[in-house]
Amino acid sequence: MKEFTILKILDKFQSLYKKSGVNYKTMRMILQIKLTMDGRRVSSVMSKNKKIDESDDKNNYIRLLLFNAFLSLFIGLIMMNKMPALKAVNIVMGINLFMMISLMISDFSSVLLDVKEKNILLSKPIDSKTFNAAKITHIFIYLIGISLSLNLIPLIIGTIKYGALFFMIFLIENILSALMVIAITALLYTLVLRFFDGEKLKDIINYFQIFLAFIFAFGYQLVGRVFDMGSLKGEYVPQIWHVLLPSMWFAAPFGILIDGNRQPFLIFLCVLAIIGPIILMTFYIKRVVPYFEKNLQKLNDNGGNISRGSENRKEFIAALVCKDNIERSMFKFTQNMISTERNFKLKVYPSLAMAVFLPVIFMFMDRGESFWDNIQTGYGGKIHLLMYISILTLCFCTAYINNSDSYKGAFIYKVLPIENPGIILKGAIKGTIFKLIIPVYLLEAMVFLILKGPSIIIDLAAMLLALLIASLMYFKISNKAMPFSLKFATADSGKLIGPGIITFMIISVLALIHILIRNNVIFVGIYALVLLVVNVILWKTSFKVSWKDIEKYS
Amino acid sequence: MVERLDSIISIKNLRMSYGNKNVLNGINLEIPRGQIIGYIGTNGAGKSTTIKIMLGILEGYEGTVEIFGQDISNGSIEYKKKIGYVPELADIYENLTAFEYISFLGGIYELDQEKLIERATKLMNLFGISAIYSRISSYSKGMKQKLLIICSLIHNPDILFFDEPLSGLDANSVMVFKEVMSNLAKSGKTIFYSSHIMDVVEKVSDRILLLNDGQIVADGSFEELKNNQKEGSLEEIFNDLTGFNEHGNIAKEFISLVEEVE
Repeated sequence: MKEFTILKILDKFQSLYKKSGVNYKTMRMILQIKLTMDGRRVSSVMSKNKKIDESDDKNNYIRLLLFNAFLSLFIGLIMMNKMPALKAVNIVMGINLFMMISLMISDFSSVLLDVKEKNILLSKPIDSKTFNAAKITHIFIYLIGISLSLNLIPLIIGTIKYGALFFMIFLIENILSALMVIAITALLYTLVLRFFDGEKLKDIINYFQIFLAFIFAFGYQLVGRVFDMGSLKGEYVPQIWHVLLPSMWFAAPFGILIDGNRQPFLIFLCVLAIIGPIILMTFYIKRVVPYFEKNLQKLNDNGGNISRGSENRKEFIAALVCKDNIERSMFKFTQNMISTERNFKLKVYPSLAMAVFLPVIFMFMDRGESFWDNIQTGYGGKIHLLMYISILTLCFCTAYINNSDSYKGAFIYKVLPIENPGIILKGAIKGTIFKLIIPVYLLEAMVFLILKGPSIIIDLAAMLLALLIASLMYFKISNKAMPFSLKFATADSGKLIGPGIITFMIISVLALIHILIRNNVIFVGIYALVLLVVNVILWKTSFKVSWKDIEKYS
Repeated sequence: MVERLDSIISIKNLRMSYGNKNVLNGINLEIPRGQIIGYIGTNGAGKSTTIKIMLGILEGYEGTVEIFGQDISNGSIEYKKKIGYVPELADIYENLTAFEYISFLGGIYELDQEKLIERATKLMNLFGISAIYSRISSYSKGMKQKLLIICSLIHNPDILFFDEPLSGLDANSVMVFKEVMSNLAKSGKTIFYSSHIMDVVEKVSDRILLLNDGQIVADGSFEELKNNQKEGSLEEIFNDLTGFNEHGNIAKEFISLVEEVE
């Protein structure tokens, strides 16, 4: 089996594991097979050629890292401004923690919540401490990569600006923050597991993700304000609530050592930066893990019926939007699958939540006025055009339609008398749009409609048409296999970067046009009409797919 | 001979529930060395749950479970070095090759790698598999099952838990496997054999345990059960003890529903 460099680095820390009672040798073996497997892709039922693509998944992870490094350029720009190191690191760390939590929830929740693996490993002489250490370390290895790639440019700039001391502290803090992200996420999941069981729990976890996304999106609005509320010169004024911001903990050492700010409060925060993650992690290992693992078993309990919802309404909508019979049953099938696929929801719900929260965040950005004034006059009275940001996030919901936990069930597409696979894809995308995207869009549109009155209806209609185009385009370029036919893999997000950038550009162009013509109702009307025509053409032409095309990608 | 009479597995008043659903309602069991135990019951009767508890995969049960005279809830994993397990649903790391998986197991069981691979290759060849360096995901159902059987024996364990081990095996391999089982038992290994295929259980088991509603409702050799129930085959005894005599009517209705489609 392959030797991994990262494991050799890990070997340097083995005494740490041994001290806490972990069988390091066994853990290393588990990690080795896990990393080997991560580098491989499961060939699906649909694929004809059994030639297995070794490099695919690894490339996804590397792509994700490269993309993060690219993002870090922009984070680095913040540091170019003339500001105290305390402020700069606070912002950089805030962004970093936010990104890590989001990725932790969407990509690694499934690793944390996995119950199947126990069946394989725990019947062997592996104690649960070692088993869990392997699990945490596995996630940690990925998170530290993400954390370092996100902080790459800030690290370089900081080192040039402030010297080697910055480099050392910043590197150590990266490790501490990754540990903290794991501990916090697991702690919060444990709380959820404590209060709920069975089928309901799976739903709760999804709601919980929305909640987390919310907390972090708003929580880090505060990061920027830490300094605004102080004196005009950007000097730091201690506030007791800064204790709640981990990014402030991590920024404190820089305030002391680089800015030369000797406030006792900063020293207190600095101590928190070191003992905070350690206490959290110790608490997690000693108290949470045993409890967590025991309750995790509940996820296996499939007791209780899934609520059937209103069948008639579903039937009615299906008949309305799908002419073809096969398409209609695929439409309903997709909606049912989405409501029961845990991993799918884990990945998609956070972006649904962001779709709602992001416009709200932008509304309050850098404005001192009251909420109401903001709505009425903000952004030249066209604040509802902020919904283009929601459109961007909503499109991404279609990303994982071809993934499923029960990917092996995909043999039915081959067994059933289906002549044109395009119909299946069409039913699936329509099902997704109606299940996830339209409800969120309508909710948001309603809120704006109530706040701003009927004059914005034409804008809302145009944006809906733009949403449909963007969702379809994104689906087309990111989903090439049959729906629910591929296994979820670790670091899946990497493969979506390309399609994401293309969709981002399409939506930017549409939003730009809309903003330019925003004050002329006739132009907006024409714009909407054009979008309608484009929609009709795209929906008519996008699904001419043959079985051969599909097989290439499965 | 004294040692043979000692219980190798001892279960006292074992209860388990998922939420408010009781799966096991007080199981008591003493199993001596060298027996093949046929463990049968209806779907959802709690067979796999019992086995998973003994393997230490499931926690949160009530009662005591002792294996090799050691209470398994004491946290020691020593006993797992001497047990083998073929899971019901072929749970295995499919992305690995058979070679990688076996050498991983060898590492965990602390076996000599070189000899292990040689032995595993020979065992696989005996079962007609030569693709030791291919991904397990490319294996057929039967091949996967054979691999799982080999993996459960690779460290020469004293107790074996077989949960539906024959599923997917061809008739020839079944014959080999049955012969292997009876020889393993003769050499003093204990085999816990759980299955729904009654004729096989009837033939291979020294002792049969029937689980119904989380309780053991019958315990004895096939001969003893036959005398008690006055029925000819294990299948009939099973129907009788689980209170089932509807199969004729159900089948009739089933067919009439199938034939509704013109």
